[in-house]
Amino acid sequence: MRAQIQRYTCTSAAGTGMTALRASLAARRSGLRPNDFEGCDLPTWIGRVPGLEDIDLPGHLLHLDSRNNRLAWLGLQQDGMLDAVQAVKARLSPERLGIVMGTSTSSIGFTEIGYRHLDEHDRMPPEFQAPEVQNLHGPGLFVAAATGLTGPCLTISTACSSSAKVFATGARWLQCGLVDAVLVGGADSLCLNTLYGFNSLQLLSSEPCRPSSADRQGINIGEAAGFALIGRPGVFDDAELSLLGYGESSDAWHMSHPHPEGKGALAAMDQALTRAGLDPDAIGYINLHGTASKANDAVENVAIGQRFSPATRISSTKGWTGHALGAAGILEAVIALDALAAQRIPGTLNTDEVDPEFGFPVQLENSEASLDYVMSNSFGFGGNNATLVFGRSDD
Amino acid sequence: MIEFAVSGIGAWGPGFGNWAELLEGVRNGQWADDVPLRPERIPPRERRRSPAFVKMAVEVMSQACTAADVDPRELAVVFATAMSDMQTNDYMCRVLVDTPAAVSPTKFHNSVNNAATGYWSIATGSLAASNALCAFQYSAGIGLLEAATQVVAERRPVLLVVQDEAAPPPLEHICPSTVDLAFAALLEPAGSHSGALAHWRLETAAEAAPQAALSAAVGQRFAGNPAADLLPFLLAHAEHDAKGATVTIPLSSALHARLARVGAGGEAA
Repeated sequence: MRAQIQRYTCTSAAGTGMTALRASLAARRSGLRPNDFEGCDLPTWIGRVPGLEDIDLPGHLLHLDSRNNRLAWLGLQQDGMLDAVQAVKARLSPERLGIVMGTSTSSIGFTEIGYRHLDEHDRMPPEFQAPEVQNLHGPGLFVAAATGLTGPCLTISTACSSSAKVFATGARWLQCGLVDAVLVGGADSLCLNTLYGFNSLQLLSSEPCRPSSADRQGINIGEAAGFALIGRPGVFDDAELSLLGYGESSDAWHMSHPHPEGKGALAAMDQALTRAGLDPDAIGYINLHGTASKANDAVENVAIGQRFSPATRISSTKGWTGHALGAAGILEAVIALDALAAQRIPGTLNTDEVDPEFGFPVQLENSEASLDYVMSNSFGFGGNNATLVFGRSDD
Repeated sequence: MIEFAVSGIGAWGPGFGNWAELLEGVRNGQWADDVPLRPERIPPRERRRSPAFVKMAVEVMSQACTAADVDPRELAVVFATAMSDMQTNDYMCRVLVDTPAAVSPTKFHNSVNNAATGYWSIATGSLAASNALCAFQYSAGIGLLEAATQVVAERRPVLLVVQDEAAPPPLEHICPSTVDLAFAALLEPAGSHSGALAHWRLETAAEAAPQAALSAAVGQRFAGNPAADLLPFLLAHAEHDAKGATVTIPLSSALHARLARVGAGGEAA
């Protein structure tokens, strides 16, 4: 199982497109800001993508308008992604090109507005009715409409592992010969459901999040859209990087708390290594799930310590972006891919000192590195875990 | 080539509490009284916290495992739904209008689309992969496609769940479902299970193949619930002719899954 990666892009609070993201990472400039999301006065910081409020979708997509779909549209236009999709569509047939998106809440922010305007029959007025937007497959339907791809299309929604798992499903579709290439990605945007939901679990930090810090206080919710165009070997002649392995597992422990020894997380990492045919020491860098919640960071550190040696460097980039939830998987897969491409590891932002309880060293500073293989972890509620391993196509 | 076997089926919905009762209703019009959900498999603490949408799933998943006589702890799961847990989403959106700070943390974590697979993992002790996906009105066909490609690519059994519930009034314009409906099927690599009910080959095609429609009475019973799209495929397992049956399930407005039955129980074609 191998899937070649022809192109990738991501848009988050740390930058719209790869050039802006690289600049933010290099300058150690966070995209987090004090919460100014409309309709929410919680004392927290957020990773809001600026300017979404002012985006006009083109006429043929206007009926799909929502914050989440605007974010997907903005993301799709970066780094030549939409053009690359159109080029592959012209070369191969559109029904041989699939779409696998990930999201946790799709356009529920739009549905939230509809609930403020329910009529005397408990129904939404017509101006708040948009069935193709107000469902979890919204991102898949939007990307299909925006690209004209007509192959199989689905949206994975497994909380914060959603858009990591898109690579696994896409790779299987390629392996089964169902399609020749797949546009995988994710889009998840700020909404009241997640802001107040994580608040109810007392997981929001009132300060910029500090992953792996001893005094970390919780997460900052962010938003992001990202995409990767992947194909079976031979479909692209300019795909330098490849997906080599993936792992998917469950915790069998608790709905909103990770297994204390990271049993499921470790199972996902082990599967990904096995599929890639790699020893743990081959992995030069792991982009952590690293949410800055008390439990996640401790458990993830324990799990990694059971398998890896400090030859593998680890860091969390959520101090730049916040936790993009259902888009975190694609966002951080892209950051890991770009680390491999540039041979440069991002450190961990906002953290002055790593929790002394942690047994495995966490990289705080950015650094140059000689990387052959990189890994990205994504763990979600319901104990749903996904791990990805990337390497070079000519390896 | 996407080929797989089906070795167990679970069903729960209006007028039936299991697969046998569903067949009785479809064949003879004899529908049972509505059967309350009592998924004993979920541990008491989780059972108290779990919403009806989760209980439906665990019920049909357990039935399919029992029918196929397999250990649920080893099974990968694919959960497919058009609208996810509408009752919990309805709760969340209503609370957010006036008293957002009063959101229940339990209801919030239950609102994730993979809540059912999470509770299932806790109930069974399974560390296996689980996927939870949506394809709006095409979720039944896309769910089957995802499960079948997992069986082929990973060479392992996959427990497929397809379900949706009745829509609360504010969401009726999105999904006009008026009933709760849940199906599960255990898919296995072709030829791997001696007790298989049938073997299938799946292909995608732009055109639908002609097939017998559900009777008006059956169709009406499930009207508006997208999970009913799986019903023609499931009902084909009750037919005794070994080969030749075909079923079509839509995957999108432009694409269909065509399923050809290539063998009865036991051996693959």
